[in-house]
Amino acid sequence: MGILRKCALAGTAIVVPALAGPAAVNAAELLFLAEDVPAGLNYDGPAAAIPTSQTGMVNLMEPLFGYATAAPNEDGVIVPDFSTFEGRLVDTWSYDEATLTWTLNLRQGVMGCGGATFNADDVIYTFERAKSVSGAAPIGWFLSNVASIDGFTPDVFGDEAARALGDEVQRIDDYTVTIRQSEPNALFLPVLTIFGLHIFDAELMQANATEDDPWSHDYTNNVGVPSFGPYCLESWAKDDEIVFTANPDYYRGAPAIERVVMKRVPQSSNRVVILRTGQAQLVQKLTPREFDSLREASGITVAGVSGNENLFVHMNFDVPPFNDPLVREAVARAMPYDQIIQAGYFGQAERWAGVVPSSYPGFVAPADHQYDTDTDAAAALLEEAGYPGGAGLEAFEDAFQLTYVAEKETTLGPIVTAIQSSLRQAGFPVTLNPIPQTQYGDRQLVQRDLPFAINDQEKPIGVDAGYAVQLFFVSPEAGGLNNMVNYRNPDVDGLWAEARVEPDQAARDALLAEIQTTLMDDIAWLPVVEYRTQWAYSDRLQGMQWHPDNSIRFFDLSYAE
Amino acid sequence: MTVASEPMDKPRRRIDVLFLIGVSIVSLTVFLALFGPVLAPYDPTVATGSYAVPPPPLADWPRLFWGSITGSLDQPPHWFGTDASGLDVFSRVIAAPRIDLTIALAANGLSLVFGVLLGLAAGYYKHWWTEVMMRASDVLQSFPVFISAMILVALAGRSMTNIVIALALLYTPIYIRLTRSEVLSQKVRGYVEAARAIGNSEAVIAFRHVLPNSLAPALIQASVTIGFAILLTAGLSFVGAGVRPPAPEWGLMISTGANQVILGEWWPSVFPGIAISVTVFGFAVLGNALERRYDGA
Repeated sequence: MGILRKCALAGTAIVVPALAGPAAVNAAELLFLAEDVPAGLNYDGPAAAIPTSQTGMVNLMEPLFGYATAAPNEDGVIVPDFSTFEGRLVDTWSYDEATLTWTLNLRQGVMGCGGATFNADDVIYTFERAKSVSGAAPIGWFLSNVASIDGFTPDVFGDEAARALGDEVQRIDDYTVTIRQSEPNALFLPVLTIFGLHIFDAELMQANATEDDPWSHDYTNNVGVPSFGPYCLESWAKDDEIVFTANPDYYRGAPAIERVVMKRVPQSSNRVVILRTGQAQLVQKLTPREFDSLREASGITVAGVSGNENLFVHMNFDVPPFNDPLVREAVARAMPYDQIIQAGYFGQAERWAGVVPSSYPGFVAPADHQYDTDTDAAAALLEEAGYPGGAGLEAFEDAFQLTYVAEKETTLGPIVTAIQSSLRQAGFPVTLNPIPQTQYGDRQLVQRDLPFAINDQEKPIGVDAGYAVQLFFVSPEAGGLNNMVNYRNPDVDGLWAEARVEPDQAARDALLAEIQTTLMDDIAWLPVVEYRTQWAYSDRLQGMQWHPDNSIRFFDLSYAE
Repeated sequence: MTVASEPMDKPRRRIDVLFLIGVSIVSLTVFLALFGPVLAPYDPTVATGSYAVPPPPLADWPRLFWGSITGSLDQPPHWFGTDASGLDVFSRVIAAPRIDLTIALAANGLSLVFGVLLGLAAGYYKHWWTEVMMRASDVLQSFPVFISAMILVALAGRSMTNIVIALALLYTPIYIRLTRSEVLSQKVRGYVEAARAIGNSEAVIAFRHVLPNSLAPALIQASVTIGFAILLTAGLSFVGAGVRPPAPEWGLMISTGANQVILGEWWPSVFPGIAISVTVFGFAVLGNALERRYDGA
């Protein structure tokens, strides 16, 4: 160990006791260091987009459905079996194809942290709140719309009367609810596993409502979120720490870890140091290099999964010269894929051969549309496009500013440098443009004016190729929500409209395959790599499980004897 | 008793070691600003393909140096190693003065010109607007320089031009105040009276007679301020408000290398750190030496 590294460790160790406090002394406690703590616990608010806020929600709240688990992967991480749904707050369920109605028989005897017993009123309240579109970011409504729940249409935004919940979600008795769809849609069950439709404790939510805020958005943004999850909220100091205590009445059994302190440590290198000192038991969101450095560390396990995290290049179809398919293909040919995998991810990534996570059902990797690194081919394509040797591209210097999130410099720096070097070699006048996360988010999602960007933060948490297509590639006019590259293809819109209501799974898969092939042919996104979602933790900790939102469920974890 | 008649010692010229050190460092910095990117063995903005390679052991340096001269090596050595992006640290360290010094010189040049002219006006003429200007300078100087620079660059955008303008704006009050105080003492001197007596206009007296005699403090200050401007430029890059990567700039190099120190990779940040320290020290001692000479004159 180098002297400087020893000094850094020693220096941080001096600071750590004040940071960690007594959290780590109890064997049934866990100190989890994250880049932040939840900014809010309201999934119908801006916090819903923040991964650490999602971690808070999924540990305090409970879904109607979940996935069964499959065998652990090579790292011992348990992965979901996406083909098998399990009831969570739902005990049994049935579907009537004739009336497009789901009947959900709810689990009985489920106790929330506030002492309330779960029943149909909680489900009704959750959907009423979603349809009210009263939150700043109506995720509950969006997911219901994606699942084709009847009445959850865009009309709710213009017509106040349309926001009232009708008989599409109906209470039959205390433990039976029916939900009617407007069309057959295979996304119904996947959508109900997502945190954006987790169930509230209606009693407590209503008790904390005010005249100005009848749906308790302020309460859930700032105080807590009453539900029926495995953990209860002990304390929450934004920008500092959130403490969870086990819900002893949790219906799947009391969690093995009784108390979890989730502490904000923004610098990933500091998280590494504190984990090494043994005062923290679990860290996330380190740089690939830091994960790599911990692999041989004593008492620490680094484990990961090829889940749904990826890196792609975003070329805006509304910005010349990226509206030229030859230019897009030339960029694809000049991309240093292997260099990115080795230098950027230390081998913890693989080429991404499609535009949907390869672990998802329905993923297709069209063999005819893969682009290996070939600078000569890139140069030839540029010449064909009318830019021999890159001559003429100087006119598009602004467009060739490769934008990325400045806060991710440590991770993305080596990657963008490699891309810049390789693309310049092919003739592209690429410059680097790191901008703050907030600015990046605004330009990507709201302005949609980023010409050329590298993106490692988009993941469809609905486990379905169709969900990804609707989210990212359907034109805004046809209901696309996050079409950041302004891609518009009537064929894709038409195929998705067909696939969306196709009840036959094989026929639906075929339509989705055709869509994915078209997207790869058009280079709607330039997929680069799928990188592993990783965690580093004490080797006494066991039970790590991956979930599509990439948030850790503390309920999964326990300490080895 | 005899008195030995000894020849009188010739007055010995004292060698000012600090002055020489300052001149040497500043000369080297200027030389690197002019030729650094040309002398760099690798393109300072292009990845070499070798990632996080440590510097060669000192014992190997003579052999590598000889190999470099004779051309017997397959590729130039990475004298200071490479960083996590595969950029050659030595090439970047010696190429960086072009950016750092350009920003520092341009910002200082602008602030010196404007500061001296405004300081001359404030000291020589007594008007309400000169008072307003001095109070505005006081307000500007009351904010921490670094915070002000960050805010200005954040508002104007992250480019070299904006960094130069921001630094110039922040340093101008220093020169205004220095020049004004010197002008206040000069304008009551006899030569000013004499110039006025022979019929020179006030503007001629101010520019032709008072200004040249009031310049020395500002010029001495310039040497020190250039050093601090380099430090400030590096600081802005360190916090992400300076030049854009992968431009070779010392502060940016320290910033991107700092997170790797915990992994034992000290070289990407230590070498540019040393470069900044030495350069700022060079400008500071040169300024001090000039001040002593001026005071002794």
